[in-house]
Amino acid sequence: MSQHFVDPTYSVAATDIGRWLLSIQHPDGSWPGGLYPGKTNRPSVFNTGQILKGMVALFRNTQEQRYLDAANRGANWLVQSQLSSGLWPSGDYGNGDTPSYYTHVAWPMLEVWQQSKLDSQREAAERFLRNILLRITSNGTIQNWGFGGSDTGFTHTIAYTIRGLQECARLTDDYVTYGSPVERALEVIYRKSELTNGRLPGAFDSNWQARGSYVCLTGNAQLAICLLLLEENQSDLRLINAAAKLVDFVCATQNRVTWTQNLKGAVAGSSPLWGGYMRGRYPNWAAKYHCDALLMLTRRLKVAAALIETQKTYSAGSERCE
Amino acid sequence: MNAGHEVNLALVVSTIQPARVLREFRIGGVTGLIQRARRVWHTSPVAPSASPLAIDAMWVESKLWTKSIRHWCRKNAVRYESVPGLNDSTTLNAINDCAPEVLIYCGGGLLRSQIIEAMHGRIVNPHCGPLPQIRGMNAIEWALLLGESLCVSIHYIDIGIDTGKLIGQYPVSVSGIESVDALRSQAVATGISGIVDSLSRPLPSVSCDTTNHANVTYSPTTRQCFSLAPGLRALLQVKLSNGIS
Repeated sequence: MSQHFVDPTYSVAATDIGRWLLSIQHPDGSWPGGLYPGKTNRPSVFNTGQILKGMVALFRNTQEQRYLDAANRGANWLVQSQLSSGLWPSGDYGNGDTPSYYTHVAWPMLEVWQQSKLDSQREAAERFLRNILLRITSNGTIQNWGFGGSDTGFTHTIAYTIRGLQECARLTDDYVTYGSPVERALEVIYRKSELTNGRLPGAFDSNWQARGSYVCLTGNAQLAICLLLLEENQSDLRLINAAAKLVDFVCATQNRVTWTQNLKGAVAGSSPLWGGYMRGRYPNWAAKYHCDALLMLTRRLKVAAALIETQKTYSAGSERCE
Repeated sequence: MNAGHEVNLALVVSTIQPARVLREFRIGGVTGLIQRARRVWHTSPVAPSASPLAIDAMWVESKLWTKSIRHWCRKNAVRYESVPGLNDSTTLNAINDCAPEVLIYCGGGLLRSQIIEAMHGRIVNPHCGPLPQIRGMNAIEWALLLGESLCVSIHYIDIGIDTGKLIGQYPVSVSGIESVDALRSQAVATGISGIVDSLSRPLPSVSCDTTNHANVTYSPTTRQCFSLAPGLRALLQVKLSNGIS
C-alpha cells in the first residue's frame, strides 16, 4: 500500500503492528488464537501461519533480522507440532480434522523457507499438502474446506484453500503438483462469477450447490485474487473479466458514505449485512482482501491495456474467416 | 433484405408476463425488477434517423422499421405469440402448430432440447463473433480484445453454447468504428445480412443433436465468454478510440 500510494502512513502502521506481534509471540514460537489478551492465549496453528506472512513481509521491507527470526521460530513451531501424518492436532480453530484451508498455513511456511532455506520447513509444508491433494474430488471441490472440517465452505475458506495451493505452487516452482489440481475448481468459480455477474453465493457444498442467498464479500475479493493468479499462468482476459465483476460487486457494497467515521471504507462480512458470514460485522480481513484484490486487478488491467496497445492491428477478417 | 421466404410465426419473450416477472424477482429481487424496467423503458422503439450506427442505417435503408414486432406482424398477417420464456409450453405449441421450415433465433435465452428437437435442429443463429474460437456473450467485443478474427458466424443451434454446425461466416468491417456501441451495431447489421444471405440458398442439412455439450473437454481456449465488465469495456473503448488499422 505504501509503495502503491507513495505514502509512508501504511508502512508505519505495518511496523507498529509488527512490533506488537513480536511482543506477544510465545517463547515456543507460536502465536495465540482468538482475541488478545484472551482467557487462555492458547497457541493457534492457523493464526501463527497468517502472522508468518506478515513477519516475512516486514523482513523483506525493512531487512530487520528480528522479523525473520520471529518467523523462523513460528515456522519451526509449526513443524514441531505437526503430526507424522502431516496434519495438525484438531481443535485449533474448530473441531475435527485439520481443515483443508490450512493450505494457508503451508503457504507462509514456504515463504519462511524461501528466506531461511531450512528444509524441515519445506518438508513439513509439503507433507501437509499431500493430504490436501488426496481430498480433491472429481468435480473440483476439496473435502473439509469449510469451517470445522465441513465439506460445505464459505467462499472465504474455499478461496483460502485454493490460494494456499496456488501460492505453494509458486514457491516450490511446481505448478503441476500444486497449481493445476485447483484449475477445475477455478473454472467452476469463473462460470459462476460470470453467471451471477459478480454476485457469487457466499457458500457452496460439495456439489457446487449454493448454500444461502447472501454474498460473502471477503470471499468475493479472495476468489478474484485466485482468478487473477490463474490468469498469470494462462493469460486470458476472460479471467480478469470475472475477477473484475467479483471486485465490482464488493466495491458497490463498500461503506463509503457514513456518519460513522469508524465504518467509512469498511467492507462487511456479508451482503446483505445479515447474511451468513460474519453477520452484522465488518471484519478487518474483508477490507484487507478487498485492497489486495483492487491492487492486483488494477495492476493486471494496466498490463492488459499496455498489451492491447502493442497488439498487431488487424482489419476485417475476410481472409481469416474460414 | 427480402430473402424470399414466408414468415409465418414470430415468437417474442414478453417482459411483462407474470411468470417472467416472478422469475426476474426470484433472481434479482425488487432491485432487479426496477433495473429491468429501466432497461425496457430506455430501449423503447424510436424511429432511427441520422444515426451513425450501422443497424440504424440498415433500418432506414430497408424501410422495414416499425414501432414493434407485434405491429409488423399485424400489418403482414404473421402469427404473433408472446411467451413467458423461450422454452415454455406455449413456445412448443406454437412451433408444433406452425411447423416452420427453419427458426431464426434472435436472443432471449438458451434453448432447451425440446425446442431443438421440435425443430429437428433447424434453428439458425447469427453469432456475433468467430466460431469456434469465441463462444458466448459479447463475442465481437471479445474477438477484438483477444485478437481473433472479426466476423459473424451463422450456425445451427444445438444443446451447447454456440457449438452447433457452422453455415457460414461473414467479415465485420471495422472501418471508422470508434465506439463499442458502433462495433456491436456493425456486428448485428452484418449478422442480419448474413442470415439473409444464408437463407438465399439451400441450408446445409443438420442432425438434431441434443447431446449435452457441457461436457466438452476442459480447455482454456474453449472458455465461454460473458458480458464485458465495465473495466474491460473501458479497455476496449480505448483500443477503438486509438483506431484500428
